[in-house]
Amino acid sequence: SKGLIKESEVIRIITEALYSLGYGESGIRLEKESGIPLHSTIVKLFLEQVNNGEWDKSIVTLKGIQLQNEKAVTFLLLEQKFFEFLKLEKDTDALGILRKEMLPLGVNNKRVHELASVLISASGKDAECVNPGSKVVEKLQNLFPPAILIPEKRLEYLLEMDLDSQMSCCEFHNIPDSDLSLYSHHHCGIHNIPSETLETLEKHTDEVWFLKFSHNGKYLASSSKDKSAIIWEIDAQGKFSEKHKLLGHVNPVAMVLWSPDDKQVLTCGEDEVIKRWVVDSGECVQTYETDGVGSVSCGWFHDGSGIIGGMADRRICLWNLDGTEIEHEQVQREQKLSDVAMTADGKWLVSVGRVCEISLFNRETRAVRLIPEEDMITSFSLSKDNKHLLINLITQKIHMWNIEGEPYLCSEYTGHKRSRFIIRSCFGGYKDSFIASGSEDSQVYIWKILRPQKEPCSVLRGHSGAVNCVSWNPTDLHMLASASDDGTIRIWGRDKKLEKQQQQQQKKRLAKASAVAAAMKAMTVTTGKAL
Amino acid sequence: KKKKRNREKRERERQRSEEMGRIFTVELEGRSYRCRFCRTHLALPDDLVSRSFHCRRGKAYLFNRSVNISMGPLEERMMLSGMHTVADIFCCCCGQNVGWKYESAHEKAQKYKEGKFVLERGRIVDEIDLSTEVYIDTHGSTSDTEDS
Repeated sequence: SKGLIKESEVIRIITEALYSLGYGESGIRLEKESGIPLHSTIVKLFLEQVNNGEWDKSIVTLKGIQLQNEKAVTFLLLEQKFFEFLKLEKDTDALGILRKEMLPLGVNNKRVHELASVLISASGKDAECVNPGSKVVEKLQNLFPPAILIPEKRLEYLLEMDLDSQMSCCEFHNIPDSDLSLYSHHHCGIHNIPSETLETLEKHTDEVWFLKFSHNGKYLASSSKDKSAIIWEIDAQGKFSEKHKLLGHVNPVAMVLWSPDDKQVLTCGEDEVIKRWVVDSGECVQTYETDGVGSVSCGWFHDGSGIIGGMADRRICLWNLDGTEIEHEQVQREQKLSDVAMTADGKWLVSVGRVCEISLFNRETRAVRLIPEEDMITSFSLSKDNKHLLINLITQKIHMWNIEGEPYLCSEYTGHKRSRFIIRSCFGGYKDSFIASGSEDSQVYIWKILRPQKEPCSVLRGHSGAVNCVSWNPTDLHMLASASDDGTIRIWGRDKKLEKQQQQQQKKRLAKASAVAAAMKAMTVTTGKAL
Repeated sequence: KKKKRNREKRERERQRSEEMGRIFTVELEGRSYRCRFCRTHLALPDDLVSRSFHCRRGKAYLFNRSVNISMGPLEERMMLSGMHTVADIFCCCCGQNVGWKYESAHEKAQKYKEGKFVLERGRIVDEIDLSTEVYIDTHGSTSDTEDS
């Protein structure tokens, strides 16, 4: 202990916690045993009277407490008395309170006039009502110095604040909130970020260009140059098995996307058609095309009621699920290869409009918000909450933009390699606080968003070909999947060996610390002095 | 004819994607200089600075900007005009070496080249080359007004 804490404060806070948690008996016992009452007798009396609604008595008791804010507290109590009279329809008495008791205080004359109008208007009487005693105490809390009236749930607040600061100091924080414990200081080692290949999936017969976990984290969909897409199922132990192979495209499948309810997927053949498939049966239920023009990208409507297609002739096409075209007003794009997406609120259509520029097209107002970039954009992806946009530039930079209001650039990430292909990146991990990306050097790159440096915090080796796409499981913080030109998909997870190592190191550190503490205690005893 | 041209184009694109990954390319508006082997757009006439460059294989053009190319490693090279730091550039689709980029020039007089691209005449085609190639018709034409 550093001697920063006063014992009497600790006792009183614990006593308050016992009362808050409903252990009144233990609370009383502690007060007795320690001889430190939670509240002085007069404050206790005051609180009792307030809780019972004995306003006049409480005002008298209040005088004995000798508060600085006495007038403000009195005002509040009189307010309650006023409302009570209103309820009992003793209007003249209520008015009397306003005139004779509240106005002379000179605390809040505006409020007095407000209350007067409440008195006069018929509707006002129903709107305001007498607050129960406990609510009044809440309001009083702010007016009393905390030493006299201990704030409710103070202990809980202190403990949560500490956990919160531990979390923000945690360099690689990536565990679910439910895993946090008060028993020991929290520290995420790098072992909590996926770093080891748990499984290699080899069912594709050519380069794998795209993959994505379903929203519920139970499936993975991948698409390949081998003209197929595969839906993988994940069992309770985290093992992957092929559920369906989706055949039908005559060109490489550029992307495969999950419907909002995870029951269907959409695939886009490169410069070909878009197909919709049912996940359970694996059958294709609809094909989307227009005018003999091929599509280069696709997307779902936010509610799954329609399909978006980025076409090779640089237009964007919208279809109803049944294949009928919907009229679309957006100006023709400048760049042929562009992703398309709709935000979850159904408001914005995101695409690469002019070269080096992302256009956010408002479907209602037809207004356009622009995100001007410093170079050509090869791909982009939205965060789960649609508040951020991750843009991959042709110059090997990843830019993160905030698109909640007027778009602004948040941060830049570098380190990966891109010179010829479309390499994709994504958000993931604890509250989407990490970014993962593929790279042409066959590695997976991971950055922590709030770190000041641009460099990755982790680089995963294993693939033997360019890594085209990555996806982080939205329901499992420690599962990352990567798609590569080597024809395989790798599933990455926690490094169990590294975790054990870190735990052992932690134990050693703690053992050392307690040994030192014991030694110092021993010295105090012998020298009779406190250190 | 247009349909045939499109079909041939798609055939070529499919051939050249023997390469790995989903290649990212941009298309330039209007009459552009393209890779001789796979027709990928490389530069615009608006960005042409000079036609009087030379390389071992013949004539070369200097451009302000070039797209759809990937760069090799930087190296010091002695050119006719002096020592320069250059990097070979390759068509990102078929991988052919189409020229080089000037990263820095050691002599002041040559500084204007920095950041610019040289495309070898023998490795690129422009719209005129393309049109003469495509309009060769197997059927004899009876009308005088066809050729122009």
